Amino acid sequence: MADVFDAYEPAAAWDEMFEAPGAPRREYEAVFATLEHLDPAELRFRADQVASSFTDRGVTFALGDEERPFPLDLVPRVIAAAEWDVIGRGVRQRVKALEAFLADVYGRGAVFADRVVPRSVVLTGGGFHRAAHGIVPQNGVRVHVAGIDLVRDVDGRFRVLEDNGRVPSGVSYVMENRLIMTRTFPGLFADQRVRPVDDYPGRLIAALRAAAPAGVTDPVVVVLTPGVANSAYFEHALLARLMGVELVEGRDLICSGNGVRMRTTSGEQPVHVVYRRIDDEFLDPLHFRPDSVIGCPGILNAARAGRVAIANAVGCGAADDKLIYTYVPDLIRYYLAEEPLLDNVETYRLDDPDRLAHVLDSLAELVLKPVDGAGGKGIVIGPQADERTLRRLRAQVAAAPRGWIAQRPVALSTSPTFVADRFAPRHIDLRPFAVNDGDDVWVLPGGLTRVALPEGALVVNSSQGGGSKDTWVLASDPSAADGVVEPANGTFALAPAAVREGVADRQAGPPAEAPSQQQQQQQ
Amino acid sequence: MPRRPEGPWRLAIVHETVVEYSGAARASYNELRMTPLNTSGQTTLTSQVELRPAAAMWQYTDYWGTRVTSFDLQEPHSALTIRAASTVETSPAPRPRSARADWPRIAERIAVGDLGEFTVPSERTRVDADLECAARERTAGCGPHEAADEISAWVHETLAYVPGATGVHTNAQESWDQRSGVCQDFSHLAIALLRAVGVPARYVSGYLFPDPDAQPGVTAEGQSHAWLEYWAGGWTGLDATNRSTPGPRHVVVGRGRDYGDVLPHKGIYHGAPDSTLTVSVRFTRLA
Amino acid sequence: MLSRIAETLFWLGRYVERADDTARVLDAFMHRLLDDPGTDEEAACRALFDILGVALPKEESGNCDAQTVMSLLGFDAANPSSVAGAWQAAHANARGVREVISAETFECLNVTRRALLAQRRAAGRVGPHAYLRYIKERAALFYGLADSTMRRDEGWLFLTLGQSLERADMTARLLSVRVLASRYAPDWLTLMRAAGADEVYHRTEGWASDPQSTAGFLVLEDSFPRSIVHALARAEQCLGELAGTPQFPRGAGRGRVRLVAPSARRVIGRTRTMLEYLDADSLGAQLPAVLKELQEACLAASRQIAEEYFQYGPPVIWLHGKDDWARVD
Repeated sequence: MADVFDAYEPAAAWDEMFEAPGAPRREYEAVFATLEHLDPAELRFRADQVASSFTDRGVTFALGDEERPFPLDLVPRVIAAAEWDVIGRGVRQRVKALEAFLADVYGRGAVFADRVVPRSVVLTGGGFHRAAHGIVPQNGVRVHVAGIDLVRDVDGRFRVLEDNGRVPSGVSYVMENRLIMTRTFPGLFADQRVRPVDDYPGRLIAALRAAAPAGVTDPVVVVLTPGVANSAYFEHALLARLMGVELVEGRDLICSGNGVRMRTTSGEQPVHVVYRRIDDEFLDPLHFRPDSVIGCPGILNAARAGRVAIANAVGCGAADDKLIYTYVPDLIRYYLAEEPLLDNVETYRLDDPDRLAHVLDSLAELVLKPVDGAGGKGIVIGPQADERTLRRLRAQVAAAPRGWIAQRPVALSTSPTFVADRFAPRHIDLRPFAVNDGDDVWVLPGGLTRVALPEGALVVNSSQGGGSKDTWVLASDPSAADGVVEPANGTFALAPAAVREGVADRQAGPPAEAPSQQQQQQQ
Repeated sequence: MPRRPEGPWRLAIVHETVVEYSGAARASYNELRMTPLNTSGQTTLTSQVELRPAAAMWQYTDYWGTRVTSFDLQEPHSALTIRAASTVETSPAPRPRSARADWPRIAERIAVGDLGEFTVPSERTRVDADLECAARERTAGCGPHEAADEISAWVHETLAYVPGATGVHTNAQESWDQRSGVCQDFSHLAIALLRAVGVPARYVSGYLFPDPDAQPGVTAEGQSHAWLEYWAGGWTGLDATNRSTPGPRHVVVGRGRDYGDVLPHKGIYHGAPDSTLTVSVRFTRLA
Repeated sequence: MLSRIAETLFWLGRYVERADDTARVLDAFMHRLLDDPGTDEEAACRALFDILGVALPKEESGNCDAQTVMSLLGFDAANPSSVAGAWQAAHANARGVREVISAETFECLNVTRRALLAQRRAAGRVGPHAYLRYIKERAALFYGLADSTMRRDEGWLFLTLGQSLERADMTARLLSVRVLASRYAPDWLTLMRAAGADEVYHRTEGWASDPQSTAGFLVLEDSFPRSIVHALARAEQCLGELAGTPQFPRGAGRGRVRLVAPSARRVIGRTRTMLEYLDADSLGAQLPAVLKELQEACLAASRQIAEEYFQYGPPVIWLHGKDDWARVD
């Protein structure tokens, strides 16, 4: 039988699975052992099963008018326990620094006075909202949910590519991917201790409840969605369902006298925490875009009055701006007095004329990102751009240098991905999700691994031909497996004999009659 | 005319806004910026807002330091009356101009970023590159205060004061192009030109008592007013509309990058598509 | 529960039931057409359009045959009164309430919708029965899954309420064509089959196919789940529970408190009682009036339910004052 990995040629990047051709890394040994014995037809069958599971379950995102599944690759991305430990701590550290920064930006502004970040960088950023000034969250949390995008460089080091502190999405795929992988490819999980991901909704609802206004002991939490037409609607519905809360649209809410209520079949009912999946600009037509029909006028002042909590808070964009990104290592040192555990990708600000001139001269070797672009929009990857694109870029950057940052291209790590009946290396990234409940920042083990499906592509967005992989964090030892594989110690760990004693006998049903007798009767 | 030495003015201001809808307005959300500030130059003694129909009001101080009154009305209503009354004591003379005004000092403060918002164009203070260039030529060789005076004179001689010639969304370039406008346009244009020549400038919204010679006890109809402040070692007031320095007749309500940051009344509602607005401001000099 | 969600669930219940009922009606009629060469195909087909309350398009009016019926009442995804259209509408509604229905019920709707095209192609080869049976089975699966995976909360009540009202209405429609236009209408046996009542009827009443007792069975047989009385009783029960079990304690917030008995319940209760005390012997003579009253009651109840429970609006477009709103001069 031809080995499906025989033709695998690693690209010029860190390969997640192979240390050397044919030699899998330790954390991948079990996955490799399962996969190498499967033939292409079998793999194709599994891949089709996975795809139809997604469409059957309606796990899709809307691209234009079309409902598309987010393709899930058969090969999981595996992260060893020790490596995850660093990532988890690094993400937590980063989120804490971003929180402190936001509190400062919307509060006394010590970070400006101490000349760590120029005030103008924040003031000119699109994510900073003056209308959010003076809104003090009850438990101090603004970034209840964060998604920190990581990539792994050619030396195998994880680096932060981008912070997402506004409305990070994608966590539903993490949960769905795991569900579908365990259903269609249970064999892969044999002999593995993979940390579960289904804690997420529980953690999220706890964090949201913790954000409730002072004095509210049993807060009503809702998820606010723009509606069915939104590309992430599936995720909104999933989170609402798993948290057991209402999924509301703007028109279901009414805000009066700084109190927010929802229109229900038993009249108007109070709402205390709004986990909104609507951008700031659309949230409150009184303060932001007046043409928004999906928001709730008055909600911002309700939050200011401490009557409702908005999660994530309005104005978090002040911290996940691409220009602020370049300052995050400094922010970590400034607020936490720690060294960053995860480095940034090497990045240049263009505020210095010499640096700008240098960057303009070497655009073909750099990645240029617009400061306020989201979802991979406007990014130019120099080494892959044609002359015309570069010329246009040069003009744009020269005209508005503060609107751009330049990065050294990172050769994103590759992972074997099932493409056209064989495994081929494709570039991947990782978005871990962090939930902040005010006491602690919890990081979901793993996160969303996105794959750039076209060969050589480096942009991994779902809207640009991306897929995903189930992301496994291996448990370091049995006790850390969080009870997936083995029951947690304590109440459930009963000896077999005790189980037998605790269960009543069961009736098996009357014995079947002998067939010969029946035949006789029918004759 | 010889001027008497003056004491502080005490002014009572009643700012009444009536919105009449063509039918029923079903829900409306509003923010008022009508409460005079407490600053080194003025003291707000009393301030209150009355509404008809009545509604619960709530106050907060916004990013710019302006006192904001917010309220909403859920019951259908065909008219809304807002009566903002305040008593303010203003100091007789403007603060002296800072003598330590020089370009390096301004440049240094700008570089630090503290005045960042007041150095770059905002929505309503946009002018084209030609006009910016003309402003720089016109003020070449001036010190900051001289530049401000020059720009004030220039704006004053260029724009004709024509009520109704412009609207709330008119920007500085547009009023320049049509050579006319009201106090808000005079201020936006002057701010735009000041920023263009490197002087940080901010918009001031407030009231102006119309009669400079009014004695205590005199009542007069007036209006809301707008002027500006520029930074040259310290903030200095400048009324481009009247080509004067704001004095005891000027009552400050709020400051911002332009009109958009200090709207006296911001509101949205749904229901009747048309509305008419009547605004009156009545001043009484109490002392 | 959110009013918007409640309304969506109500219609979800109605649409799935409608797809099921319509499939049953079409199946029985198609069978009859093929089974009895003497049937006036055109007249029977026209009657079908009347039953379902669907106007026959002008361009089809000269030529109404089994194929027209299947393409317009079976496969037309744009018409919510057709089988495919009702399912499509059910799916669209379900998409808006994914967080309250179970994942399995949504998956059932989703998979079915995606399979409709292939099922339709198959029907082209082997006849409409397979397609219609598929829908009936999937509707049963949907309600089965809903029954075993949904909490018995308000959402469940609205879903069931929609289903019950739709069922009462469909059965009344089926009967009224027979009563009002008997010349074109299918015979009683076909009608009973369309209502899924033929076997049960024969078991209880024997083969004495007396029209009056057939109609009486479909209207009054309380023990038969597809009878009008049964469906109304269920709707009434749902409304009773909705009125009696507020999800939030009264007084929490500034909730509206209803002081009078909800009148949708009264409309349905009165109709059901009227039916129950009907003189069975004279049912035949009264049937036309009774059926009309029934359909009107279903409509009135549906409107009343919207009035009582679905108080929310479309997205609001916010207005500003005139341009010179609070302008400084």
